[in-house]
Amino acid sequence: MAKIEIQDLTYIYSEGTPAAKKALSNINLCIKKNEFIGIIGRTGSGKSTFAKHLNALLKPTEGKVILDGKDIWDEPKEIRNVRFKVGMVFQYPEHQLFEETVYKDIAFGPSNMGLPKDEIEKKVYMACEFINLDFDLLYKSPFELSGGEKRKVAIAGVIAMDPEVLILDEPTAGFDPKSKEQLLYQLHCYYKNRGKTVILISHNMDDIAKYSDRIIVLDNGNLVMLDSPKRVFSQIDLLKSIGLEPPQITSIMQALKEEFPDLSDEILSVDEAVEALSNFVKNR
Amino acid sequence: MLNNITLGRFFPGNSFIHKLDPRVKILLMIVLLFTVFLSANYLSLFVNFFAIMLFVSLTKINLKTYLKSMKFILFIVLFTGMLNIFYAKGTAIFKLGVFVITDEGFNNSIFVSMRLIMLILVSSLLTFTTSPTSLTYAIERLIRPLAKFKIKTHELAMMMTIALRFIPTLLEETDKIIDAQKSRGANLETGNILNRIKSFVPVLVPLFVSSFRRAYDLALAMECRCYKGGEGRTCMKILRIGSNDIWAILIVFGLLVFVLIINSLFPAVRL
Repeated sequence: MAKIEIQDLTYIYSEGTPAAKKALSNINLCIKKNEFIGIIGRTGSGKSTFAKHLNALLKPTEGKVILDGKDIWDEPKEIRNVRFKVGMVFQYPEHQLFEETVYKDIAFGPSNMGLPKDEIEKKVYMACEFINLDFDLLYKSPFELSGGEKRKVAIAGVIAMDPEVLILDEPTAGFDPKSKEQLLYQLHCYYKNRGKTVILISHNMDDIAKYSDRIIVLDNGNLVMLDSPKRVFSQIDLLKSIGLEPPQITSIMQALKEEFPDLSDEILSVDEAVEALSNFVKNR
Repeated sequence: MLNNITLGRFFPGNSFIHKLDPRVKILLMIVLLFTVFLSANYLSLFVNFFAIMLFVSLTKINLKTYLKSMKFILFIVLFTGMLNIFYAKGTAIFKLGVFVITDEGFNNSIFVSMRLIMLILVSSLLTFTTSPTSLTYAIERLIRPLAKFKIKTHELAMMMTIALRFIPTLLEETDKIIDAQKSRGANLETGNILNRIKSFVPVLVPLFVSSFRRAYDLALAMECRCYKGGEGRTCMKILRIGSNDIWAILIVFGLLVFVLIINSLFPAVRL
């Protein structure tokens, strides 16, 4: 069943003024339950605007956002429930920390949900464990932590609400390779082990290719493609025309294929490439 | 949400008024404000209003923009206008139960409202057509004589420039933080006043933190470029009074004299 359904979504910034700008035009798509979706597109293509519609931070100028079969704007008073179901982690989420202790900050979301105290505590510890955050840090001030730890706390603050859909806007920007890999792996677990939907916005094609089930490609507010990584990244000319590149290893394999037409070019990871190349060498 | 405020914003352009020397513009604005408050009868009030509307049209900025900047203050205008119309003693011209409108009250409310509107128009005239940097530069030049009294004029002007420069940045930041906290279920729209103030803590704390961070970064960046205050500092743009400025001065002072003449020829309205 479709978890989120987008129907004819159009959004115009500052409508009715001379500065009006169409940010999204006529987008139709479905996101299934328990799916890992990647969103790619160059800067200004409407990725963040699109994401903000999913948890009701922006109201569509035209069209509908349907969550679990219900238009989210049907009952404007219940809009907070949408935000609890669809959690959103913004770019540089560490800038949103405000509480005296890390514990209180992570508990902000769950307590807004009106959960009882013991339930909140459970969720906070669950989120910390999930994001690999040291329990010792819970009673420190968030402003004493390092940048990476702050980011983890902020992400934990959204995870603690246990959203059914988790949207992350460039969550690994400025991370070292190891923390980046760790965070992406944890997101993968959130989707795989707990049956949730994860939507990842990123400029890193390698990450998107590695983790996504399907990829949404946006350009200039238009939906260009919604397909599996293999199919999306085989459309090399189309991607280049909208300012995107396939993952590096895919580019290498595509270049090799021009020399050796027998090789497969639908390759997204180094492991796959090694396998394909060794098979190719053996069979010669 | 917060992008709709036009009061105090700068709209780049190439009109006669845009090109005036900012120092001249500031001083002429003060003179214009004087003429607004000096006009003592309807004719001089009208002449004043006409002249200001003429200047407004000279800026080639849409009249709607000016009206928008008044949106917030229109309430105050209406409120003071209403108070004045009912709370003045004098000869009654209209009666309805307890409500008595007097001659003086009527005049008073018209004068107060018109003066307030013109006040906003005149100050918008300055801020709409002058970039924040040239505005502060002009202020720096105008307060330079105060340096004799050991007042750090350059530093004052620099602080003003920086403050103005960061208003849009901080507005944008506020929008982002509001979105982030809303995503975590923060309720910023409903509830009584006390709850609403409380619910803004999650917005204000991060905003303060980021302002300090920005201030720190900016100070570091300035130091890296060897900034050390006003001593021996030259300017890229040198302000010069041109023929346009002289024309503007003549026109505004002409208006002042004209208003004074009308005032002396015709009786003042009783307020």
